[in-house]
Amino acid sequence: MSADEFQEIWKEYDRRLERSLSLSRRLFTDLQQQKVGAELRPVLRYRVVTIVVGIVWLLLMAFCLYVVRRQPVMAISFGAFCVCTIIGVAGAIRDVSVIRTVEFSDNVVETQRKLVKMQSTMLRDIRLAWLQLPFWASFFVSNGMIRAGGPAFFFVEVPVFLCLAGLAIFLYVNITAENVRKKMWVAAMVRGAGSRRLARALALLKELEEFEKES
Amino acid sequence: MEKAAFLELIQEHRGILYKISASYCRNAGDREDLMQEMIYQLWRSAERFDTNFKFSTWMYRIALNVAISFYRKTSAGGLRVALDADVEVADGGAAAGSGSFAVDPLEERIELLQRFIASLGEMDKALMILYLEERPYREIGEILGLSESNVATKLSRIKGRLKQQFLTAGGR
Repeated sequence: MSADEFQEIWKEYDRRLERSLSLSRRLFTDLQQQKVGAELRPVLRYRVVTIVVGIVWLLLMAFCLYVVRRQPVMAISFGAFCVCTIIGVAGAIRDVSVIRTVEFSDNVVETQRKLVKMQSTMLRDIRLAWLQLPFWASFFVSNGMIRAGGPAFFFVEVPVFLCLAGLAIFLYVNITAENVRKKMWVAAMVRGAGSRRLARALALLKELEEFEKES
Repeated sequence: MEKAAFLELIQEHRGILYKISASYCRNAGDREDLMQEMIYQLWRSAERFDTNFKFSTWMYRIALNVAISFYRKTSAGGLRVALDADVEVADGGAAAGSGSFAVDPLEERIELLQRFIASLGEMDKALMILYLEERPYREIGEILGLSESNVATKLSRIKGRLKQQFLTAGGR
């Protein structure tokens, strides 16, 4: 069977379509009313919410940092919250600027790469959120607590902090695009953030990389 | 672009849009949603359409970009269909509508071709559709963002697999 025969079969399919196909009136009514959801709208909404919530949270953390500036442990903890939030907000602002450059009339590989990268940025937010974990066990530790608690306080506080730090680093390293596909528990952790859609986006990203390779 | 002129152009090229949506969506409901999404995106992009550009190239780019993005939104989309799975034939059922049970060999071939396309990855699917639409390799490269030589290599591999599928099906 020659390759051209496939094109002949496709042409026949085309001829049969011509006989049976008519665009429904509803299609045009919907177009006029613009009911159709644009692909990027949910992504853009998610990033704008991230920026707004992130800025409010950053202001709150910065205020707390200012208040506790003479309490080293508390100051370091609030400083860590601020740094993680700044990284998250900066990433979201960059994403919004990239979304503005997405054109469906650009070539398919380029457009799809931008789209799937946008959809996978939620992984970065989840990783950043987990990275702050140990500081939730230290942000309330004032100079007074350290003085009053004595060695017993350190025997409790330090191991808890270290355990949480270990867990945070473990999660930061493991919550990756690759592991969403490979490890069930990672997929389960990001399920609330739309893991199925994310997994599809990541699968397509991999396909795009393969597709672009000159072979 | 005037809305009437735009709709006329879409009407003229509706077959392409339908074939793309049929290749990316398995059920009729999703197909119609995808058609709407494609037309909506074409309409949104119409004012930025560069008349120096070929209309078909512009339309294929938008339609394929929307189709590939759309599969991530649908619940059942994006999953590759096994070659022996049942695929809803998306031509309006010319044969089925006749009430006859006679097997039309061409109908079978169309169905087999559709099954093969449904079994491909999202990007290979786009490549195959453009090939079947008889777009030149240069234009396929422009639409997808690949070099002409890469298009040729990939197509030759896909066509090889397709021939094998037809031979196997013919031998059954």
